[in-house]
Amino acid sequence: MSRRSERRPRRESGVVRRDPRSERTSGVPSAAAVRSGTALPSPASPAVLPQVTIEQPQAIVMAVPDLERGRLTALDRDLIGAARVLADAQRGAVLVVVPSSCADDLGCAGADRVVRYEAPAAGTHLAAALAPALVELAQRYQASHVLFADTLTAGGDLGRRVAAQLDERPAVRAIALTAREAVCRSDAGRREIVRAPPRVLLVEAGCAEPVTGARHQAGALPELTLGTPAAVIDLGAVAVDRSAVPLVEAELIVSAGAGVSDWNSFHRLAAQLGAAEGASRVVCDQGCLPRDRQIGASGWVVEPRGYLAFGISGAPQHLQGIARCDRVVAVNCDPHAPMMQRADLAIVADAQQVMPALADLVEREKRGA
Amino acid sequence: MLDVAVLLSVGRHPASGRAVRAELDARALELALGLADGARIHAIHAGDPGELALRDYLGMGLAELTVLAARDGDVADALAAHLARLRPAVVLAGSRAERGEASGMLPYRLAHRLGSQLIANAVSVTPLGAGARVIQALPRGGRRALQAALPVMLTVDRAAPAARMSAYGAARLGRIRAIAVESIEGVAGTVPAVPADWRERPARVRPRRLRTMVQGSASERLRSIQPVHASGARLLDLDPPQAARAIWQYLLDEGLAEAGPPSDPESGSVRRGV
Repeated sequence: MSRRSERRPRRESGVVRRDPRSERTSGVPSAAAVRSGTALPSPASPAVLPQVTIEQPQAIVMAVPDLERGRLTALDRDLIGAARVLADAQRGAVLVVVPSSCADDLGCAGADRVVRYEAPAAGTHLAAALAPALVELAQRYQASHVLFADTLTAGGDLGRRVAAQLDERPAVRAIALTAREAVCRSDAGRREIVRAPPRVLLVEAGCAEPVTGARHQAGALPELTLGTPAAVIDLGAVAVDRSAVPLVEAELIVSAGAGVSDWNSFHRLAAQLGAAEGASRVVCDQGCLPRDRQIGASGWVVEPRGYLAFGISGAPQHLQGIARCDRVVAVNCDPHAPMMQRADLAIVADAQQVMPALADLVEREKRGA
Repeated sequence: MLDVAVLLSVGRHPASGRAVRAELDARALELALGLADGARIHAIHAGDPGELALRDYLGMGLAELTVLAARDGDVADALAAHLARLRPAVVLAGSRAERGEASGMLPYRLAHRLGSQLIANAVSVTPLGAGARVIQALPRGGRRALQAALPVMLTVDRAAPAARMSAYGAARLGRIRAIAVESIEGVAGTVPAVPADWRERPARVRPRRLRTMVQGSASERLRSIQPVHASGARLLDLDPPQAARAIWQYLLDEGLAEAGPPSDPESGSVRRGV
């Protein structure tokens, strides 16, 4: 008896027990409710999420998401989750800074306050304009922490600028975060540094759980106005040949295997889609495509968002090369090929006939027919 | 003549772990060597002047390499003082080191200290009038042009052109000039790089996050946490136009393609190798 009471965490120890029935009460309908037809709507619909309001925050934790096409990425959700961890530990609020074009529901992602800024005039180098404004914002609200996503061009650049201007030594490549300590990768991933969370943190994917199951207030605060630094002028995007970009950078790859013999259609399709060309080992061995286009264990390991495989059976070495692809479409005559098992959309057809049909279709669609 | 400083560090061979030239710093040096009208290049390393891996940089065609002789520690002060004296128009550096904390903060701290502009992730630089035109790499193969006033600090990442090979003869002939950090004006020496309250440990493999679902039957929830191989749809017995239509619709739904004419008027004209 005494043993059992010892095992149970006590209130004053600070340990919060999870209520094992909370899931049922919050969203999953009871069997009786389902039978009687009065089941609650699913918890994914925002209507039933419990509202969280923090009126008098003891601290402010700023999070600056990267956004992609005005929407939060998976890393951004982890980032706001990490800010939530730091804010909740000091009864604080999470302040998210986004451009005014952001259309995502920031309240469901865990934002208590939102500061928006108008996209600066054309020609302004965004990072150079935004960093001093963020420093000023952090000082105005006395933010205890400022969090960024440690990506190459967006958050990683901005966060390091802010850290340099605040004269802080940031935690970079943070892979795990609690209120007491931040775990950062160092020495090219061989070692880890464990330190108290500093004022500026640059976090990687998986650093914290994204916020689900609650709707935060997302109250709008006064807008941020950006200056226009004149020393660096943004001249805009440069047109690039998408099929010539290195495979490791490509967004969409069209790849050929031994089942492809109609190379004109293949090249035409890649050009129409604006995709980079890839190949399996067999194709490169035959000399049909150059060696630097080979994907797989002995070629490139790629991570595009989309991968179109034509006539590739999917040897294990090739599948290693595309292990981190987001979406795979495979066209193959053999429905049992490993590539067809891997694919998100598998089409059993002859690649020779599908490639010209698809190229024609894309051409018609691009012309606006 | 344009003065270009390149900050070089010692890297680690990915397989053998031996000291070699750092990949990104070598690319930064490659950008400097590729400047058309022949810039005056100041190659700078802070650390041990006897390090053999520094010869890899000399083998790329450098005549001389300056080493600020310092033991392990924070060398930002020494580098800032050295650069303030040199006053280079362009400073190039790899975006992060291959050893130690590798926070990538050094270029930012130096730029802030020297009051120069900073452009991250540069893939090319050309002097243009009183400034420089810099091409910056964006994710997924995109490129952006920027016009920067001098002095400017550029960080270089994987998208920059690959570094040339290192020639053995040139590596032997190049000269390494060592400067003691203590002899630089206003620098007392290096401070320890790692504060006492940081703990270091070997990296651990992190568990992969499972996407759990709250709803559904027990078997559905169990299936949702198992690794997914064949998540996708499988289409049989389609004629080629139908298959093409299915692929196109899938690409549109996933945001991988856009219907309608391309919005960028320039995208029709193809420019190679930018």
